[in-house]
Amino acid sequence: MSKEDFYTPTDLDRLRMENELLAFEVRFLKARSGGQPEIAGSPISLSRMTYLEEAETDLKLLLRRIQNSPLGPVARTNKNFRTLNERYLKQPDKAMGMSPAQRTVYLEGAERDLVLLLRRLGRGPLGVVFSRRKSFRTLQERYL
Amino acid sequence: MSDQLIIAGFHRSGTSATARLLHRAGLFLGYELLEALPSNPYGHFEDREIVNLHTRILADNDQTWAVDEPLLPFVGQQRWQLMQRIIDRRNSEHRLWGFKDPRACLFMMLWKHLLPGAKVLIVYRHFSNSTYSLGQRHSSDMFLGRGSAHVHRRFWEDPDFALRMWLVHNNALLAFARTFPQDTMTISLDMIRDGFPVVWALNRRWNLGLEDVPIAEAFDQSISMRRVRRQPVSDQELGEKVRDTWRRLEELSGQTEMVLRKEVPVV
Amino acid sequence: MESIPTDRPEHPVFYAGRFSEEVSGAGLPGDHTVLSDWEVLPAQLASALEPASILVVLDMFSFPFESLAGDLADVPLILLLPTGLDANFLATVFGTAAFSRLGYFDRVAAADDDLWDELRRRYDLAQGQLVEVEDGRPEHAALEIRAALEAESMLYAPLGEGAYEANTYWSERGDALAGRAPHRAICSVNHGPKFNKAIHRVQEKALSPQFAAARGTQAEEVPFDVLEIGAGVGRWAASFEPAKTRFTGVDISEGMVEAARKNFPQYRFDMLGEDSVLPYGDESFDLSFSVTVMHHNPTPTKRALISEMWRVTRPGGHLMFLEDFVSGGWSTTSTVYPMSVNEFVGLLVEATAGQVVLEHVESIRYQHDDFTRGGLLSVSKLGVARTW
Repeated sequence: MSKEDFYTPTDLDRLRMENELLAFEVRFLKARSGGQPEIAGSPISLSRMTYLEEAETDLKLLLRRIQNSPLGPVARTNKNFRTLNERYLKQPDKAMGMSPAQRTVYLEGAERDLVLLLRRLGRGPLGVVFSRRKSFRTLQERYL
Repeated sequence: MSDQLIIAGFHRSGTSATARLLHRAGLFLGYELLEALPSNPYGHFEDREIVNLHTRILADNDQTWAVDEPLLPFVGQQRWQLMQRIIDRRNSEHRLWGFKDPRACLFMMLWKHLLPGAKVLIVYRHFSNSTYSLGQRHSSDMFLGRGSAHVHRRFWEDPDFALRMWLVHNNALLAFARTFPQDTMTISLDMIRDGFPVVWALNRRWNLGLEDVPIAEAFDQSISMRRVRRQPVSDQELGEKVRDTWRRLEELSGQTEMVLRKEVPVV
Repeated sequence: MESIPTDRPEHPVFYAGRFSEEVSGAGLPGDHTVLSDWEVLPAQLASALEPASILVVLDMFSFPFESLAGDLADVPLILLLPTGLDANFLATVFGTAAFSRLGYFDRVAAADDDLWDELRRRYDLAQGQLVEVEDGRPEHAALEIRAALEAESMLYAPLGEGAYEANTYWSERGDALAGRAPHRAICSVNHGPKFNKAIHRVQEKALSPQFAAARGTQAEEVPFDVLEIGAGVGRWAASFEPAKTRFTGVDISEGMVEAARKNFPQYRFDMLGEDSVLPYGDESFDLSFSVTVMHHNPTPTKRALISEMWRVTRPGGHLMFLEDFVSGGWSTTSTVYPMSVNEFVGLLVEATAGQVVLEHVESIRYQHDDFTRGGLLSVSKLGVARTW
C-alpha cells in the first residue's frame, strides 16, 4: 500500500475535505443557475471581487479620458460628472482605508456608476461619437 | 469548408508574438482585437468575443483567468450556443481563421468538440521566464492601480502560484497534444527566436495557405528575455512535476524540429 | 471457519398479526419482538421498529404498509407470502401497497417456487431477494427466517488481516458473502441489514434522478446501455427499467459475479481482471458509473479505471461517481483511501485528458456518521462519435 495514498486524516484534514466538497457543490449550483448575482450578506466570490475591481479601474479610466478630451471643459460643468470625479479620482486614499465590507459596497457602487455613465454617454449625438471608439464599445459590451 | 488554427500557450509564453506573425501571414484572428498594453507593446491579438466567452465560462465556474488547479468546467447551454455562433460566423466569412487566448489552454477540448478538424499550434516557454514575466506584469499593474488587486495579491502571497498556473495550463496542452497528435504542432519561443520557419512548417504540415512572412518583421527580439532564470519553488513535489512537464514539452518541440530537418511528411 | 459477528445485535421484529399467539408460542430464539394486529397503530409501530434490524411481516393481510413512511422505510422487510393464493390475486391486493415498493434490500419469503417466480418476473425482483422456506405457515416460517438471519450475521468476513490490498480483499469478501449475506458483501460488512438499507436509500435518492437525467436525452426506442464498475451482486441494476436498459456489470469477485447473474439473468455480468482493463469495445455505453468503488482503490487503479470508463463511454454519454470524499483511513481496518473531491477531480481531468465537462455535483450526508460525507459527480464525455 502506497504510503502517500493511505494515511490517517486528522480532524483538520477532514474539515478541509468537507469544505472542498461543499465549496465545489456551491460553485456548481451557481454555475448552473447562470451565475446569479450574489445574495446580500453572503461572502463575495473571488471572481465577483475581481470583476468589481476591474469595473472600478475601467470607470476611473473612462473619467480620466473624458476629462482630458475636448469634452472635458463641458463635462466639468455637469454636476453628476463632478460628483463622479470627486468620488473616484480625487479620493483614492479613502478607498484604501475601508473595511472589506465597506470596500465591497464601494465597488458595487462603482459598478453601478459605470453602467449609468456608459448608458448616458451612449445616447443621442454624443453616443454616435463615442461608439466610434473601440475602447468604448469594449466597455459597453462588458458592462451593459 | 473552412480551416481553423488555434494558437495555444500559457500567458507570457510568446503567443502574442506568434499571433502577430500569423496575422501578417493571413490568419484571421478576430473581428475586434484587443488593444495593446504597456507590457505587450505589439498588441495582444486577442479577439474580444473569444476572450469574453472564455472569461464568462471561467466566471460561471467562479474562476478568474488565474487558474492554478485542474479545471472541470460546467458549460451551460448558453455558452455552447455562443461558441457555435462564433464558429458559424467565422466559418461562413473566412477560409482560414483562428484565435489566440491563453485562457483557451483550459478549453481546448471544448473547441475540439465543436471543431473536430481544428489544428492547434502550441507555443511554450520555460517556466522561469513565463512566471517571471507574469510577476513583472502584476507588480507594475498593482503599482499603477490597474486591474484587480485581489489577483495581484495572490501572486505575492503565494510563491508557487504562478508556477502552478504554468503547470496546469501546460499540462492541459500536453493532454491535447497526446490525444490529437495529428492536429497539433508544438514549438517553443526559443525556436521562433532561433528562426524556426513557423509559417512554412504550418503550410507543409497542414496545407493552410498562409503567406510566408520573415520572422524579423513580426518578432522584436528586444522584447523577450532569453536567459533562463533560477525558479524559486517552495513545494518540491511541484518542482518535480513542473520539470516533468517541461521535459515532455521539449520532446514534442523536438519532434517538430526533427520533422523539419528530415522533411519527412507527417502522416 | 471462524465466526465474526456483526457488531450490532440482530433484533428482528416479527409482525404476526392474527397469528401472534402461534408465533409467540413457537419458541423463537434470540433477541426479537413479536407484534400482534393490535400493536400497529402508527406511534406503536414507530416505537416497536426503533430497535429493529429487520421487519418480518408474517401476516400481510392485516399489516398497514402505508405506515412505513419516513425513517420507518429504512427498515428492511421480509414479506411472507400467504399460502394457497395465486399470483394474480396477490398482485391485485398487494401490488401497489407492498410489492411495487420493495427495494433491493427487501425480501420475500416463499414456500412456493412457482409463486415466487411469477412475482419475481412481475415486479422485477432479484433472485437474491428470496428467502426460501419449507413451510409457509407463519409460526414455522418465522423459525426458518430467524435461523437464516442468524446465519447471515455470523458469517465469516475477512477483516483487514495483513495489509489491505484492494483486489484480494474484495475477491475474498465477495466470495464469502455474496451468495449468503449479500448486503454485507456490498455495503458495510460490520453492520446489519437496516444500516445497509439506510445507506442504500440515501444513495438511491441522489442517483435515481441522475440516472434518469443521463437517460433523458435519448430517444425512447433506443436501448440505454449502462455499465457499472464494481457491480457487486447487482443492486443498482434494479434502478433501471428492464425493458429499456441493457445493463452490464463488472466485478473483481467471482462470488459477486455469480450472485449477480442469478439475481438478474436478463443482464450481463463479467469478471474484471487485475489489470483494470474493461472487456468491452470503445464507445459501447451511454452511462458508466461506480458507487463506492473508487475510494477503495489506490490512485493508479483509480486512474486506470477512470480512463477505461471514459474509453467505453460514447461521446455525449455520462460518467458518474458516488464516492466518499471526506473520510477514510481512520482505523487500522479501514478500506477507504482518503481522497478529497479536488484531488479526485484532478485525477478525473488527468485520466480523461480533460475530455469531459461537469454535469452535476451533490454532497451526500449519511445519517449514521458525522464524519463521512459522500459526493456524487456526473460528467459528460466530449468528442465526436468514432463508431456507429
